[in-house]
Amino acid sequence: MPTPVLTTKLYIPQPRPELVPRPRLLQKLTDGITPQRRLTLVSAPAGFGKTTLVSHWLTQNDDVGMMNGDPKIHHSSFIIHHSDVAWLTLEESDNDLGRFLTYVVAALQQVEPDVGQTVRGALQAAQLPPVESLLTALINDIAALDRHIVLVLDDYHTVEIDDIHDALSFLMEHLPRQIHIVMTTRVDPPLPLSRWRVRGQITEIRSADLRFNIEEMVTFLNERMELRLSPDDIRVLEERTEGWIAGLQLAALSMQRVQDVSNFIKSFAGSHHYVVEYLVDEVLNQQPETIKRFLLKTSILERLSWPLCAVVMGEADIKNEETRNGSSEIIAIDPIQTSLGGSAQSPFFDFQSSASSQEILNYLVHANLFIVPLDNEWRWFRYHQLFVQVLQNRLQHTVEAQEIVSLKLQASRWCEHHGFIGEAIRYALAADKVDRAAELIEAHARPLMMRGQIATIKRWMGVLPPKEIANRPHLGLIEASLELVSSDYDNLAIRIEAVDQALQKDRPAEPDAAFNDLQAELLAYNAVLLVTQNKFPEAIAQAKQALACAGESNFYLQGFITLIWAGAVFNNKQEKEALSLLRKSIELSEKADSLFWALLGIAKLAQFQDLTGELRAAEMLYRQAVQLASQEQDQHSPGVSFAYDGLGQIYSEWNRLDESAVYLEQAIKLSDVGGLKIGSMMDRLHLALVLQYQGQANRVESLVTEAEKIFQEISHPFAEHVLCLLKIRLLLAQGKLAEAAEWGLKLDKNLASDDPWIVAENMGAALARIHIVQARLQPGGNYLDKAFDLLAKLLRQAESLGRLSYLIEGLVLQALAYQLKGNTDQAVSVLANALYLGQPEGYFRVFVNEGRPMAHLLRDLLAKDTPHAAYAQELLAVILQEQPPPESHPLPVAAPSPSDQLVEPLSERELEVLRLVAAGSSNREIAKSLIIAQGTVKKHLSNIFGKLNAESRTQAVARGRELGLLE
Amino acid sequence: MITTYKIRIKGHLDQRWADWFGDLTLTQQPDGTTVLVGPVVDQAALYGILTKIHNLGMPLLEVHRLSDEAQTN
Repeated sequence: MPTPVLTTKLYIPQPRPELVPRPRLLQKLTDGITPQRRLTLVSAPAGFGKTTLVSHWLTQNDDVGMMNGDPKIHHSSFIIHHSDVAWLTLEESDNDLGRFLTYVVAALQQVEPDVGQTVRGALQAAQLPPVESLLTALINDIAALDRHIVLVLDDYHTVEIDDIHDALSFLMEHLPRQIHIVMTTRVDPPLPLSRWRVRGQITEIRSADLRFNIEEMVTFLNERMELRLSPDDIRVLEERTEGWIAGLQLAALSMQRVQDVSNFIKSFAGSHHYVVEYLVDEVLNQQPETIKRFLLKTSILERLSWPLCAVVMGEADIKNEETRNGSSEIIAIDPIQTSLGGSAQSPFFDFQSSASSQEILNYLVHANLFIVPLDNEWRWFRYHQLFVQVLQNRLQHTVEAQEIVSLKLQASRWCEHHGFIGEAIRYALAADKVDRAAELIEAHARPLMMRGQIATIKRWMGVLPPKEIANRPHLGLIEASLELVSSDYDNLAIRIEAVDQALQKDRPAEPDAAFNDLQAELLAYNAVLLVTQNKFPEAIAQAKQALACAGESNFYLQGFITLIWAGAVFNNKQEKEALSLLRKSIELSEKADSLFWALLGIAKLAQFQDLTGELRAAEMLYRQAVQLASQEQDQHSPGVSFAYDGLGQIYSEWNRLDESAVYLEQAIKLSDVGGLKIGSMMDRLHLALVLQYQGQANRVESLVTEAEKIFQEISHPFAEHVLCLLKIRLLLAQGKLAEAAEWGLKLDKNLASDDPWIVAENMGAALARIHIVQARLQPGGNYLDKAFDLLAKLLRQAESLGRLSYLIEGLVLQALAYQLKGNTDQAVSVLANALYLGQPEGYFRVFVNEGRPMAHLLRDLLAKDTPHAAYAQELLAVILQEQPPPESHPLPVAAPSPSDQLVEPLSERELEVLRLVAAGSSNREIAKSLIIAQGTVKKHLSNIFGKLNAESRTQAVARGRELGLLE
Repeated sequence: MITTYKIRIKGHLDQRWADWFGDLTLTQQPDGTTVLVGPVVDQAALYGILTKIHNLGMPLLEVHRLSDEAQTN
C-alpha cells in the first residue's frame, strides 16, 4: 500500500468566475513556455494573487479546443489545457525529500500515469536510494513523453531543507524539453536563479507585475464588486493598499455593507493600521456572532471539512457524528447549489445562532470569506494563509488558552477517528499534548508497520522529543521493531536495554495485562539478540518465557514470539519442532492480521523447503505469500520481498534467468521500501549473479558496490558470511579465481567452530570449491586433500539432515575433485549420482556454474551409456552456449623464481592496478577504468607497495618487472 | 550572547501582536510605522520573526542590531 497521498494537494484551485482579467500577465506566462525557458518563477508576498493567476492561466483554455500534442513544434501561442498540468500545493509538512518526491510523482501521474512508475516504489523506502538515480529515472520517463506538461509547485516558500532545493536544482539542470516548471513562492528560493537568468532560462513575475493597476482596480471594485467608487476614492485606495490585492479584496468586502463608502475610505486612508488587521476587524465586526465565533475557532485547523468543524464547534461529538448524519463520510457541500444560492454582492444574511457548521461553511464559501476550496467536490477547504494568522491572533485574545488547547484536541480526536493519524499527531503536538501524540503513535504504529509503512512510522517518531520515547517502553519497542527490520542489531540491543530499564522503573506491584504484553515483547527481542550470539538454548528459554507472559488473546504478540521461537529452535537443529512452530506462527499472525510477520513466516517455511531440495514445493509456498499479500491489497508490502527473493533464487537454479531477474528486481525494490537492509544486500548480490550468468556484466559491478555499501550499515553477525559466500560465487562466475581464493581464505579464518551449522554447511561447500580452484591453479599443493576432507564431512551431514540441495552441490564438487585427481571413472559415477538426485526438481545452475571442467565431465559421462543423457546434454548445451569465463592467469606465486620470492602474492586486482600504474595511469584514471573508488585504489597501492617492498610507484613498477609480474 | 534587534515595519501593529513576536516590544510611531525591539536568541530566531512579518504581508523597512549583551541571568 503506497503512502496515502492527499489528493487535495494535487488539486488545481478553481479560479472564481468574478475574476479580474489580466491579459498582460497571462501573456507573459504563455510567453514563458519555450524550449529554452525551463522555469517560471512567480515570486511575491502573500496576498498578491499568485496562485489565482497561475490557476487562471492554466484553466483558461479548458473550453478552447485541443492542445498541440507535439512538443517539437513550438509557436508563441502554445495552448495549455488543464489536463497537461501537474499541480502540487506544498506545505511545511512536506519538508522531507522522500515525501516531496512522492508528491511530485503523484502530481505527474495525474497527467501521465506511467511517469515515475519505477521510482514510486523506491520513494516509499525507509532508506532513500541515491537521489540522483531516482531523479534520473524520473527525467528519463518524462523525456520519453510525446507531449508537453507543466509542473506547478505552489507555495514553494514552505520548502526549507537543502535536500529538496538540491534535488530541484538537479532537475532543472537536466530538465527535458517536455516539461516546464512553474513555481509560486513568497520568497525567492535558494536556487541558482542568477545563473538561470543569465542563460535566459527563467521567466519572472514579481510583486510589481502582480499588483493591481488603476484599470484593474476599477474593474474589480466597480464592475465585479459593484461598488461605484469615484476615481478619487479609487486613487486613495490605491495609495493605501499599493495595489495589494488581498488588501483591496478585504476593503471591498468591508465596503459592501457600509452606507457611507467615501467616509469609510477616508478613515481607512487616515489610519496607519496594518492593512490586513484593520480590514479583517472591519469584516469580522460586520459578521453575526455565530460566524465570527466560527471563523475564530476553526482558524486552528490545517484544513476544514464540515464534520470536522462541527466537532470543533461542539455541535457534534465524535461518537454521535455517525448517528446524526447517518454516515461518517464527509459530505460535500454542493458547489452548484451554493453558487446559485447567492451572489457575491449580497452574502450577508442573518444567521440564527443555531446555524450548523455545514450552513456556515456554505455561507463562507459563497460570501468569499477567506476560504479556499481544496477539491472539486468541496469537501475540504482551508482559510487563506494571510487571514488565518489574524484570526488565530484574535482567537488568542478572545478565549482562554485552555480552550484553544481543547479545540486542538477535539480536532486531533476527530482526525484520529477518521484515520488521519498524521494530522491527529500534529494537532496534539500543537496543543502541547506530547502525551497524546505519543499515545497516538503507540496505538497506530503497529498495524501500519504490518502493512510495511515503515517510513511513515519513522516520520512520526521523528517529531517526538527523545525524552518522551525514553520514558515510554511501548514507543521504545516500536523503535526496536524499526531496528529489527533494518537489521541494526547493535542499535536493537541499545533500545532493548533502555526499554528494560524503563519497564523495571514503572513496574506495577500487580503487573496488568498491558505491562505483561510489553514484558513479553521485550523478552522476544532478547531472544532475537541471543540468536545472533549463537546462544540458542537461552534464546529458546526467553521465547518460551515471552509466550507465557503474552496475553491470551494477543495473537499479534503470540505470532511474533512464535516466529522468533521457531528461528531459535531451527538454529538449535530441532527441525521438526521448528517447522511446526513456524506453521503455528503463520496461523497466529494471519489471525491477528499481522501481514508482515505472516509473510516472514511463510518465507522461512519456504526457505526450509528450498534447503531440503523441494524446489517446487518451495515455489508454491513463495507464491502463497505473494497471493496472501495481494489478497490483502498489499502486494507492495516489504514482507513480500522475502518471497520474491526466494522465487528469484529458485528460478535462477532452474536457469529461467529472465524470470529470476524480474523477481529479484521486485525483491530489491520492496526490501529497499521496507528498509530491510539484509534483504537489500542479498537481493542485489543474487541479482548480480543472475546478470553475470546472463552475460550482462555491465550492471554487476554497481550492484555489488551498492550491496557492499549496504553491508556497512548492517550490524548482523551473519551478514559478513553471507556477503563472503555470494562474493565468492560471483568472482568464480567471473573467472576471477585468485580473488575468489582470497575471499575464501578470509572465510576460512572467520569460520569459527561454534558457528551455526546451517551457515557452516554452506561455508563447507564454498570452501571446498575454493580448494578445488586452488588445486587447479597449484597442482602441487595439498588443496585437493583438503577439499576431499571437507566434502566427505559435508556429504555426511547433508545426507543425515536430508539437505538435497547441499547433497547435490557436494557431489558436483566431489566429481570435479576426482576429475582433477585424474580419476575420471569415479568422477563420472559421482556426477551420475548428482544428476539422478537433481533431475526430478530441475536442478540446473548447480551443474552449469562449474563451467568448462563440468563440460568435460558431462562429455565423459555422455560417452558412456547413461540414463541421464538428455539431461546431461541439456546442461552441456547451456555451458557451451554461455560465454566461457576467461582462463585465469596462473598465480605469480605458482612460478616462483628461486632468488626472489614474494612473501605474499599480489591479488588479481592488485595486479590489474599495478599494470595500470605501469601504463602511467593516475589514481583517478585507475579508479575510473576499474570502476572502484579512488580510496580503494590507494588501499590497493599501499598493499602492493607493502608486498613488493616498494616506496614509490616507480619502484613498484620496477619490482613488478623484476618479478615478471609485468610484461 | 543575546543580541537586541530593532525592527521597523510599515503600518501600525496592535499591541495584541506582541506575544506573536515573542519577547519583542511593539511601539507605534507617529510616522505610521511600528518598531519592534527586543532580545533575539540567534540568527534562526531572527529569521523566524522576519518570516512572520513577511507572511503577514507587512512591508519591512529596517532591521538594526542594537547591542550584544552577555547572558547574565
